[in-house]
Amino acid sequence: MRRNVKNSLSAVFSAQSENESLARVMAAGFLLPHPVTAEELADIKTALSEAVTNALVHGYREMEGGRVKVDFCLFSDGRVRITVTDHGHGIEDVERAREPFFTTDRAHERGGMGFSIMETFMDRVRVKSVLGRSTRVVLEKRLSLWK
Amino acid sequence: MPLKIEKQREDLVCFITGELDHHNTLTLRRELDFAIANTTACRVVLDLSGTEFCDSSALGLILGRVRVAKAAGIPLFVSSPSARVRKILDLCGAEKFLRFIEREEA
Ligand SMILES: Nc1ncnc2c1ncn2[C@@H]1O[C@H](COP(=O)(O)OP(=O)(O)OP(=O)(O)O)[C@@H](O)[C@H]1O
Ligand SMILES: [Mg+2]
Repeated sequence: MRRNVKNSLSAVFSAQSENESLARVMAAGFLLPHPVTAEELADIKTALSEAVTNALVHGYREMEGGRVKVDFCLFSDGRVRITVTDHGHGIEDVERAREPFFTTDRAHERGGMGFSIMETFMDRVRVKSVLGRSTRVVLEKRLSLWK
Repeated sequence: MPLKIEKQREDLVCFITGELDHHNTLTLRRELDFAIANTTACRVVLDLSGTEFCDSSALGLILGRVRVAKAAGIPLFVSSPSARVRKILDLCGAEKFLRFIEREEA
């Protein structure tokens, strides 16, 4: 079946931690007019929060001046796709980064569970990164009540 | 600030309310460390009954406070997370690193 775009929303915000909650609120606003369960919405907000936090703390290493782009897309078959893009440091080894408990930031009390949480709560997680340039994380989930 | 700290009998009870994300851990970390450093309590209890959201940053914050409390010679316990918060802590392997308790209301 061809997937048509039912609705989309793109936002670019400064790499500041207060925008983590803004991103979650945007996800809720984007999805609430549609048949999304409370659990699905919580799953999506958690996964999005992980990706946005990673962009800020790893992509930009908490330096100001960077920008994070979030693209929301809802397809006519009930699939939600959220893309989080930063133009920060990039990931050297994506496969390794996705392993549970792998972190390059123990100094800031990080546990290395962000990607595992994204994978648990979404149907599909894709990561594309160019070292020294950019990271893009694509999160996908199908809404179960969609008709 | 989504933090209220009360001395209840021998416990230092820290109520973390609202959204426990990376942004909020930045101030919570400072305030909790200050409270732990200056308490005469025998136990630290992080009460998560009012925590409405958490992600992996929460685990880092909590485990970090376990270490800070341990260094001060005080055990730290976690109480009353919602099913959702508990699920995320468990995903991160929390039961291996954290001690959960049921807290009686004072
Ligand atoms: N946007 C990004 N830019 C650069 N590096 C990243 C990015 N996202 C993730 N990484 C790298 O991947 C690693 C694993 O990420 P993950 O979210 O799983 O764990 P963490 O962020 O280190 O810890 P936690 O999420 O548990 O606080 C990070 O430590 C970092 O090295
Ligand atoms: Mg992370």
